Amino acid sequence: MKTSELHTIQDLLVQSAAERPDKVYLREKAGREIAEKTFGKLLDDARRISAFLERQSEGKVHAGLVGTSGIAYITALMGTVINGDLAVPIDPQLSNEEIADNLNRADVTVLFYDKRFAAFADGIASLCPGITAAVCLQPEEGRRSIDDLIAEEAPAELKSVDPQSCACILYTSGTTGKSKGVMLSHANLIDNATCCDNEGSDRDVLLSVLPIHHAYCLTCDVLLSMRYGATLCINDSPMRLVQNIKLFQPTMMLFVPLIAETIYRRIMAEKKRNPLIPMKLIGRTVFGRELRVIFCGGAYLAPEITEAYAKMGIPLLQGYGMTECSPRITSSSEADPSTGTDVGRVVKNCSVKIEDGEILVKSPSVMLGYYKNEEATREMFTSDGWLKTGDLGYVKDERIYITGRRKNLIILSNGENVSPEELENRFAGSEWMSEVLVYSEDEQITAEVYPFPEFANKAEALFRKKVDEINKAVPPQRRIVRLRLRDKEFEKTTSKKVKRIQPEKGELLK
Amino acid sequence: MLEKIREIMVRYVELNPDDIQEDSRLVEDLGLTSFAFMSMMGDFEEEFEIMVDETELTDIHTVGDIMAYIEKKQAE
Repeated sequence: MKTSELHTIQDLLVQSAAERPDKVYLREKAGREIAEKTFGKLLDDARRISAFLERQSEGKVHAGLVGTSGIAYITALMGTVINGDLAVPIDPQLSNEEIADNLNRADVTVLFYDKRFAAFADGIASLCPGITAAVCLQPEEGRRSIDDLIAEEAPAELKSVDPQSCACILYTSGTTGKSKGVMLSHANLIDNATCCDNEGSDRDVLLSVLPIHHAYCLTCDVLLSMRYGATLCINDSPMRLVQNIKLFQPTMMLFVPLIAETIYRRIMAEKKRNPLIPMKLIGRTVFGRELRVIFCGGAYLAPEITEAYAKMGIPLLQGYGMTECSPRITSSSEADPSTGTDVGRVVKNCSVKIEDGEILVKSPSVMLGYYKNEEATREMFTSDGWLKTGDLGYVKDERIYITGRRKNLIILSNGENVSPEELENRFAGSEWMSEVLVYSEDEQITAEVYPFPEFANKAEALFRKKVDEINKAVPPQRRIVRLRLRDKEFEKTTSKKVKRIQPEKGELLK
Repeated sequence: MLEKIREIMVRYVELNPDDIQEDSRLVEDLGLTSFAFMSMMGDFEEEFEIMVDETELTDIHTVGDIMAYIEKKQAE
């Protein structure tokens, strides 16, 4: 495929369908069978969904997607973007209120939902009054499903799509609390899916294990495999990753450090029980015979994990990026691997410079801005248009080394960003508490509280109760794990804000 | 059953089997991540020949909750 001829996601899908109409692009488990969809069928089905969306509004339709990755999800997503409408993939682990809030803030009018969200869809009129049509991703008795649309609609004529128009809004945690909708254009996503060469071929099989509402999955699983004519298999649940590796025998996978670490731990436990088994044999047993490479990004990866994978004969290649950059800023390849301490080389068309220690980026992959949030967009850029990543680091021999974070975000090992302020705000209204600080300690979300002295006796019980309440309301990965209670006020900056880094910590509650 | 559960759990947490008790909390006491928890449930699915439904896992907080869940699934 000539990448110079690709300007929009429509171009990408149309070209892959023209080059390999009958090649299987998507595979997933369907009960005891395996369901498949070819490139040709995907384009045809996507055009039928476009036809449905065309009738929903004269202007651009904003379609929300609530569910986990799958053939139907990707079909709905493609049907939305190939004809110039806009897709808003939402994190399905959020509470119903947060999902509704994200849909409303992105002005969504059509909803595609997983059947697990049927009750949510039934109550959509009151939660999201802007939504006028809802379509279930699976066939369900009494519900309009995506299969119905494909059966009823004729394929839409493809319109010309402006490469600079917004294709997707992806939510990312902001430093000030509320998540922000990152607007990525067709040109952004195509640039990022084509910013490296020779990563794969049409003989490759990818197993997609990352959540599809993340830019990393969208660009590097969905679009990249489409570009190379590879087959993309869907991991139906994190519970069954190892079983699915055996089933689909992937040649390539994209991980976040959390997944790499979990499998590493499991392998080391096996090694401890059977010290004589060679690492390469364990590697083949867990990852199958075909796996060639794993790409890893989204958060810090400890060098010993990379080393352990190397011993199993599997290169674990690091990259670095952020949603606002669609997401790749650096990447590494089998021919030019990251060394374990760096995060790879800056990708094509992307410029990086360091200012006051912070990594700044300019590239065609850099977002259009945050949806309806000009102030936050302005804050992300320097006056001469460089995106401020918030990461501290340096460049040596064209490779990037990350040394820390300027902004106050907790980056979990699954790549999820957690805003400490958002969790701190949840303590509001606790009359027993004077100050709270949320931070990451040993990679665990920690809340530290200074109670009003008159509540000192009851503070521990009240603190625990409040944390239980908060933990019930947030997705599992955002739960507060560690609690610290202090008997002194937090140190403040000159502007009387609590200093994010405190010289002394409060007592750890067991 | 606790023995079998411990045997599988130590694949995911750096603890001795004896550190894992029925009332141990998965996240707070054992330091289990959300992904490790899911992978482990996949192992239980194979080991105890049950079908785990992901949507039913939100109320599992302790090792005892896992045991109760497995027993419930085995009875079904």
